[in-house]
Amino acid sequence: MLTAKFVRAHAIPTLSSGQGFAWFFRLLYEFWGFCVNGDNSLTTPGAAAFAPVTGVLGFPANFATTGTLASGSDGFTAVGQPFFNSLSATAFSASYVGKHVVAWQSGSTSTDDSVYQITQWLNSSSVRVNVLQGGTPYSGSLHPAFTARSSVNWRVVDFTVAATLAGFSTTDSLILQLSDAGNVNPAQPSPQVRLRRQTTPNLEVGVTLSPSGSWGVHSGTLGFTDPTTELLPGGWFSGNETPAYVSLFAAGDFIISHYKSSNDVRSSGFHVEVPQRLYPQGTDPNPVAGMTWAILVPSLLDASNHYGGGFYMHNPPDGSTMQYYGAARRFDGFDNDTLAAATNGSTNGAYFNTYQNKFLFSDVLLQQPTVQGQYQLGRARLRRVRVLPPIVPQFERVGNNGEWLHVVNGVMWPWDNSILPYNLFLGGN
Amino acid sequence: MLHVCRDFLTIGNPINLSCPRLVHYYLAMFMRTVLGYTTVGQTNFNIDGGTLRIATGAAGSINQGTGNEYAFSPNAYSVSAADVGRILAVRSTGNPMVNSGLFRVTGVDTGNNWLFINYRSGDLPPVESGLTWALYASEIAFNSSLNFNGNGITGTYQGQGSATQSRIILQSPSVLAWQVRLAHENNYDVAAGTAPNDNNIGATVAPGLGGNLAGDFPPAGQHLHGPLFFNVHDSTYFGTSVGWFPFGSNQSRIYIWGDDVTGTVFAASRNVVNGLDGFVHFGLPENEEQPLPPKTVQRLFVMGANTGANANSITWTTQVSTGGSPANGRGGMAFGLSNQPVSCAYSLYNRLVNNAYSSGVAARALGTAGDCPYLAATELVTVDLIAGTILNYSNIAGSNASVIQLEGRRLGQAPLARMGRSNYGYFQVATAGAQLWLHLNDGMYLPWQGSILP
Repeated sequence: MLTAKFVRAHAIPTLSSGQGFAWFFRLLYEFWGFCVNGDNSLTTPGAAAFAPVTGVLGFPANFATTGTLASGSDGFTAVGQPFFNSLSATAFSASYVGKHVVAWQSGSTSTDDSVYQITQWLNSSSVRVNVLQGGTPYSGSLHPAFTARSSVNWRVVDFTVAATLAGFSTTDSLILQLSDAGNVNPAQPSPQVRLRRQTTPNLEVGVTLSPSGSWGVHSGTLGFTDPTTELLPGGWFSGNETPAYVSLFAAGDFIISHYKSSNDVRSSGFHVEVPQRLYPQGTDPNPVAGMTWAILVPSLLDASNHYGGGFYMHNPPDGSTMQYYGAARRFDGFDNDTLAAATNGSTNGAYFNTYQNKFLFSDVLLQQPTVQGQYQLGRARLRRVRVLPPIVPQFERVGNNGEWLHVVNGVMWPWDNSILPYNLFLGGN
Repeated sequence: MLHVCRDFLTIGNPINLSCPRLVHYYLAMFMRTVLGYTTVGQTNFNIDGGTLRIATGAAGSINQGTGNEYAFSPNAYSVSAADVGRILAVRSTGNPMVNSGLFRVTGVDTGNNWLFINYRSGDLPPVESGLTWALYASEIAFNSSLNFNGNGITGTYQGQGSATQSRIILQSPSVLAWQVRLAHENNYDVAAGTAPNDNNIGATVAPGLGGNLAGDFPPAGQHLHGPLFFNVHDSTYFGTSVGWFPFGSNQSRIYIWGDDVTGTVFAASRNVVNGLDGFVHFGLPENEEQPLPPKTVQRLFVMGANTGANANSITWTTQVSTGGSPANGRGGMAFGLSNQPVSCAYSLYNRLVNNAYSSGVAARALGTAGDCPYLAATELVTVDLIAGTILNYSNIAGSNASVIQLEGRRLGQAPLARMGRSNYGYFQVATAGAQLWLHLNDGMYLPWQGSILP
């Protein structure tokens, strides 16, 4: 499915060093495996979620099961309500308060498919959850709330228990499949991305792309046949990684993660997506782009990070892992100008049309014009980010249907028009 | 259908006619005969009168066989020696990118009743009949007909009403029936910076609607001529009218692209003797932003030379005084949702990081620019048109006042033209995909067919 789903401001409590990162990977497993890609299995992630062979690599033996307290396929919700219900008379224990409900329907495009913290036990069939962490904008208020659904699959997960498992290692990885690549670009196979939980020397997420989705045993060795150079942005944390807030944005063609520990004023994260292919299929069959950052506020103006210059792709003509620069539409016709440098002031009218009540914004091309012999003005168009002059208030919804959210510094990520009663980045940018 | 005038050579030296005076004659001939524009009204720019248009027909033929490939047979017209030097405008529907265009008559064969033309290509013309054509007088006659007198009403834009200055409004073949005014501006208005040129030698190009028999749009009407809209004589309005102005050129090579469905035109001049190149680009965008604005005029644009300071040349850069002070930039106008003229600019993909690459060098102009390895050819990308994002046009007098409103809006994709690397040869033909493209200058590419003269 190409419809984006969200985990909004998921809170990780104070834990011992390393445990917050374990929580984060279990959260990725639950959200990507079930909410984004889940079928009707209550125990196994959807077949499209991870590489078929050891797509969940390493991790302690009970990584996927420890902390799973209950599950069912009989969940139901009512429109506009924050209550998650089960037909079972014994679904929920009073002890589940503070734990999380993972909710999904196979093949659903609903943003109700998400991970919610249980905030109140009502009875053994009903709990109140923090529906703002997922949900669907409710008509009128646009605050996230449940829609009317039945036969909802659900799991109750105790992330704290999962996080305290022993035996995590630096090779632990999730090999995600971007199984909707063929719905983005004709005839594109599903690329894969390895998210590695590196612990030495830094606690960070290593990102390796495989354009053809080649994860498996090759000549007796587990790995990719076409890996890009692993992106290692450096330590994600300047101290303990908790307490923290995590937001996830994902669909079958992309995943964006924003992790903000309270121990630094800046965030860490990654953005991986199947961009729109602009070159012929024959010469660029499998475009997939990835970007990571560590302890930085997302930006458009950084020449080597984020959207200014932090994306990498496999470059078939020379077989390299190529750095790409983001390029966006200029709005005043001057070659040196970037919309990202616009400042709040007398020229705001250039970027906000009062007659249309609309902001001007741009898509982003990935280009590499600086390498001799590899000149590329626009290899691919990022589909999961838009940019605008940062005169716009943070967390403003932009687009005809609020399909973009200005997260910070002119960066806009996919959104569902929801209005949150608080900032999405509760822990900071 | 896209028609192309490939490389028409203007009369130039030794007659020493100023090319900026003449380019709008070429434009009018091409628009009228090749694209099917109709005349709404004119003053001293009688493109349809007998002085300028000698003859017309709808059943001409080109390429009369071996040895006579460049012979044009004009049906129902008897050729004579007087036709030599005249300009033949041809509309071809079978070979619109090579047989359409303007061609200088270089000789006649009275026995066969043929006009021999300068085809301006190393290629032979495809044999074709059923051609619509018109034979126009040479530039000398047009130059003699030009007038530059305003109406004498001080404090206003004088080039309207009873003014005798040469001007014409043509109506496009588009179902939207939009029009365009070509006006040779007078001294009084030029002195206030109305026209993008020196006195008595240039003209403005203003799309709009509601033209009258005199060749004027009304003040405060629906058009893209700032001084006429505001009806002012004031240098504050520098830059709010746009034209085609190959500054100082006495002879040029003329290239015109035009779509006979939308009426959109891109015209360029390549200097031969003295002066600079120039271009003008106007009409309807492609891939227009949806939903469409409420009025047709709010969909129109014009790009070209717009102040006396930016003597024309061919570039993607827009001359602005906010956000930078590029030399030799161009300007553009559109019509805002505020119901008044606003700026228009080419919107290219710029690097997000400040100051482009290598201290101000755009991606298209880097020394590393070459063929794209994925295409094994020159890579071209689309360019957008953005209206209402420029508050001031820099000009010879410095920054003007903020007379045009800011109301940023994407119009759509710049029609016909594409952007690519700028180090490709000047006026050289590039292969990009299945299409040939002519690189003019600064990475500006237009569709092309066939070879080109050096």
